[in-house]
Amino acid sequence: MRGNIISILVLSVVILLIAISGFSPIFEIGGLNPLIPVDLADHLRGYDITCSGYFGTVWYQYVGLIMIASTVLFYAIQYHIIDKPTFNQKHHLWIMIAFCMGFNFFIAFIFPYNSLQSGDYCKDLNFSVFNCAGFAFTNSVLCFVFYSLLTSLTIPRKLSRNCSHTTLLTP
Amino acid sequence: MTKPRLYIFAIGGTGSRVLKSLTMLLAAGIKPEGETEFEIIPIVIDPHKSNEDLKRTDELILNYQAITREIGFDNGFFSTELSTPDKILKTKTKALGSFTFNLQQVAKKEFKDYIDLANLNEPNKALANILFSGKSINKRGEQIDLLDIEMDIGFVGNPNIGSVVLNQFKDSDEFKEFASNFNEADRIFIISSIFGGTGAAGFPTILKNIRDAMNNKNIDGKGFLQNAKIGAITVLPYFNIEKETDSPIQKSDFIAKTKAALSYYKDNVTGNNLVNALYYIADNYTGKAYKNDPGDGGQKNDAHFIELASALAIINFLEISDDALQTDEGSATCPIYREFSIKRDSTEIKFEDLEIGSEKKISLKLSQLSLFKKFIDEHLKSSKEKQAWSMDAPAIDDKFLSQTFYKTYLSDFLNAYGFWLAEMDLNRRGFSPFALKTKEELEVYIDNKSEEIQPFNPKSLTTFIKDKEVKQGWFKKTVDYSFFDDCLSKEAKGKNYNTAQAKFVKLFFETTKHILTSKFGFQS
Repeated sequence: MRGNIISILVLSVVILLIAISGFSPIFEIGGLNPLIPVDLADHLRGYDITCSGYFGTVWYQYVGLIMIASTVLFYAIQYHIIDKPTFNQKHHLWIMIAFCMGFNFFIAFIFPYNSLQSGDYCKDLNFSVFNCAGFAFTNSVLCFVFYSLLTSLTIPRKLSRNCSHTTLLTP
Repeated sequence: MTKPRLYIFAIGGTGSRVLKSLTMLLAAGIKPEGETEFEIIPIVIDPHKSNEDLKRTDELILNYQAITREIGFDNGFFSTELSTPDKILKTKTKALGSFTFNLQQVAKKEFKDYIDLANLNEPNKALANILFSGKSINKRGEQIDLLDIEMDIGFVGNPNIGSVVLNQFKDSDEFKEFASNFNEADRIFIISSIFGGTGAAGFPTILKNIRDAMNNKNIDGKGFLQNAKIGAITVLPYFNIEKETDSPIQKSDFIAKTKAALSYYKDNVTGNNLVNALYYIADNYTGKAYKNDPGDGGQKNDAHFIELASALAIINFLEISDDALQTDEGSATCPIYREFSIKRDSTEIKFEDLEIGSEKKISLKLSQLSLFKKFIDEHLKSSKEKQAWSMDAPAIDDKFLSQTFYKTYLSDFLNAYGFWLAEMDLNRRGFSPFALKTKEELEVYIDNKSEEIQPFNPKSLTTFIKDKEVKQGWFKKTVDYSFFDDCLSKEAKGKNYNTAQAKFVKLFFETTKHILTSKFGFQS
């Protein structure tokens, strides 16, 4: 019960933040995330190629939405589509999370890396492949957090027949 | 409103074994069709207190009772109330367990002392010597005169002795209390064999005492008892026995004794319509020979299909309407006589060998209980605390499995069920509807009584019932334990159970029924 309340509170704060400010505060952790330097953050916020303002593609938004959608999809695959007694243990959930994190790492890496390789970014901004990997890592960690929150909630989980008790720690 | 009662008098070793089969059937959820539910009160009458069959039955019924005390009667399995006589009888003189009628003055006593032969006058002594002439053996296997027989090993195939000893039934405190508690709607069923000593003597003696209740000054409720609805099964020879020249029990005597007893019944039981419904059962198949044990070795015989079929007679008796069991002044107005048959003369009877009525009555429910046991034996350890059905409240977890209900009562009962199935499977004529282990493995299983070795062939769930083919197809789920767990979780979802004990039993009853009807082609 307490776990449910904490998860709902955290999710509510996250949704509120996204609604007000988009995904940037989530990825940047209010500017405290050392893995996303300011220049990369500007690029991801949509600083355009002519360096005239934030008129370009807002990568945070794309990556964030894909992260949420893919996490929900991976969750649904295990809990509601496969929903098997042979695939409902905690290590199965960890496997699914690992795949989801891998997928989100790839997605978050590929967008800024592609911009970097093709030169499709403001040249005043200075970021590297390593910074792209940092962003990808952040995205996969956020995927893990979101997946954990989602599976800690009783309500959607209880709709599953065989995985209704499957969390990171049980069974 | 209290339920009407069925008092079952199980006489002798056969009585105990039929009672055991009945308990197994009741545990599987088999019950009479019809609106009236009966409370069953078994009373075992056997002087042979060390009889292993009696001990096993006593233990089985006590476990059945302990289970129903915790879960009630609304869970599919174990759904018939099986009470001890001490619920109605205040007399606390039972020597063994709670189901056994205490035969006074039998223990460690020779028959000649029981009839006080030494103090009889000469003409009576001479008469007793003529009536009870002949030889028998004692506990040590030594040949003795019939009058010297030690009765605590039974009557060793001598109904003439049994009829004298068992006549004390009418004067016992238990009989008086039974009579004063007997109501108009209650019924009586007597189980006996005709080819031995205790049963052959006990059946007409007990029947006569019930019907003659009007002349018994010591008891109340005479009218109800005199006109009671009485059913009985008389088990004719059905098993083979090892030939031992020194033993007083010889297979060659079975038919002669049966003929003599039937002739007596013709004049004193059926001839004067004392029974409302009388069932006859026999098997002339010469199969596996039982150990020739007059009683001193514990008399532990393997379960036999005939005992199962005999138990079905009790179910059948309860299905007969009150109108068809009318009695007037101790005489049945329209007595019913029935026999039992199978469709195919098979040495290993499977469900399809039974007549349709019998098959319909037992096949699904016995398969359900067997599937329940098979799951517990083979898969419960893998599922507990892992599958949703086990984790949903109330949980089926290690704590539940360590409680007395599961660890002792249910496990002991289901182990006895496994041995019962294995013994019937090995017997000839055998009853083997389920795929059990090989003959050699089953013999080890029965001898060792180990809980670790189980009777079912662990190969596959789909071949678990011999003559039932699992419906399979491209889009049909495979029947395995994963499917079983899935069905259990589906069944448990959203259901409220009062206790883990009730959940465990009811959940498995509903799920096994679903699996067997949807996949094995059983009709519910």
